[in-house]
Amino acid sequence: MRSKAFGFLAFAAGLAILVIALKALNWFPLIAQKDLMRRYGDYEEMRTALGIRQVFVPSYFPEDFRWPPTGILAQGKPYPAVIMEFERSGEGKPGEIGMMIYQAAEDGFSPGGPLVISRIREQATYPLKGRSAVLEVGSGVKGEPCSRISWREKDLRITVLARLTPFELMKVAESMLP
Amino acid sequence: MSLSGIFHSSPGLYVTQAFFHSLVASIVAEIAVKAWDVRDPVVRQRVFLVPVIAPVFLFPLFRIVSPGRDSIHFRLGTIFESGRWLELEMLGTHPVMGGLAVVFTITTLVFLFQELIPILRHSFESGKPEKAVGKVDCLEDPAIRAAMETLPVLPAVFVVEDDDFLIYSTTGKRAAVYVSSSLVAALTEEELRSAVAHEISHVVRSRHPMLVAAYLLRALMFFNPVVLMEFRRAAQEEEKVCDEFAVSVTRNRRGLVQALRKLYLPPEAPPPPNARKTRKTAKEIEERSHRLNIESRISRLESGGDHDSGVRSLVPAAVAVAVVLINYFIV
Repeated sequence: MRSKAFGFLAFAAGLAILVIALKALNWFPLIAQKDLMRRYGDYEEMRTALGIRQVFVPSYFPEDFRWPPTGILAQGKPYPAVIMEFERSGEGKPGEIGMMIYQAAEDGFSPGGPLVISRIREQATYPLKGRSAVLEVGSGVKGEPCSRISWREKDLRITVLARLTPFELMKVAESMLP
Repeated sequence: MSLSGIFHSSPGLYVTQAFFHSLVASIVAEIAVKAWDVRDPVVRQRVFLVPVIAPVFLFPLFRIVSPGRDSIHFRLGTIFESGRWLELEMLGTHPVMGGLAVVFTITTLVFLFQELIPILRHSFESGKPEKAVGKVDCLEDPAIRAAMETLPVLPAVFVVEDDDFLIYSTTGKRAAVYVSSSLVAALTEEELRSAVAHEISHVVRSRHPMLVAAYLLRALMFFNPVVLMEFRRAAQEEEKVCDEFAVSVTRNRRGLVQALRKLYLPPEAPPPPNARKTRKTAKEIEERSHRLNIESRISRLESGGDHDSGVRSLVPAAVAVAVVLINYFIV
């Protein structure tokens, strides 16, 4: 039986090696397969890498939000999915994500993350340029107003989630469609 | 439902994460055993039970404590994401996903045929009394009697007519120790007393709440090969714990060593002349493994045993904390 102090030191060193090994193992699939979920530097890089033909983007941005997105996460497998995050550029906490737009070929796709509706106050079906969209109005984790609109576009489910009024949210959604 | 659908369902996520959590826990347990050079069977057993028990609770616990752990953001920043490996494609197949499905199926069958069915059969048969031909009185020695009287249960010890060397115990309401007549004839009085004390320890410890809980939780992880392996390691340590108990009661190490030698280590028969040495049957490997295990017990008893009282709680606690913290970042 070794001394307690030496044991702790050896144990901590062993754990550090284990964590490093797990991190290395975690990178391997990303190297071997390019279309797994990952973060991209910009929109064009993502489109080129994954070859996703159609990505729905808004042409209208409310005040404090602007193109390009501050974060893009996307995957080609097991089904194509794109998540675009927009930080508020004006007032508010720096680096705070205020809007997320995501599209996926799977209805149940839910990225979670920094922006979620924790309580839905109202849910309604809303006609969106001939599509039937579901509009949800509620609040975020800290009780801040939060809205979500979601609709089906051919084989994709598109969702816009933002700390915006429902009116502003619908304007963003409408600007994404021809 | 496709294989991918099964792995992405809630039960599928539980099974997959429980497997990876137990794998990491098993490595952490091994690091702890090596780091502190743990030899005390009680401490080793507690450490080996962490990978058995922890994965049952970790996934639901993490989901309750941190619902955001399922988000893509968390997954991208974590230490290890199992989904990446499961989704790896090769020639239009998912080899890791398929491999895991095969491993889980084989482990389930092993659990069923090597553990659950034999235990159920044993429980059923233990209700029926054996045809005993006599009774062994190990309590003649006043010191042993005094030690035994402190136990919560003192099973009867019966002799059964059999030419093989056998000694085993049954648990439950009719707990008893059975010794074959040939073994009684082969062992000296002190050796027999040590062997019976070891078996009585099994009966006493079978009622130990931690061990009962560990077995029940282990049964919930019936699909998990790491849990199967770690539980068997913990069971091997149980033999050493019972050895220590027998020695503490009889105060006679030599008696137990001699009994173990006579019972389990008969001189090895030379291999038949035309035997192919390169091929070993599964039975031969199993016997060899069993022999090594007995030899390790004997060598431990002869060296005087190890008691790491200073780290009895510290090492298992350190392992448990490290397992929870690291596995939080294994999704």
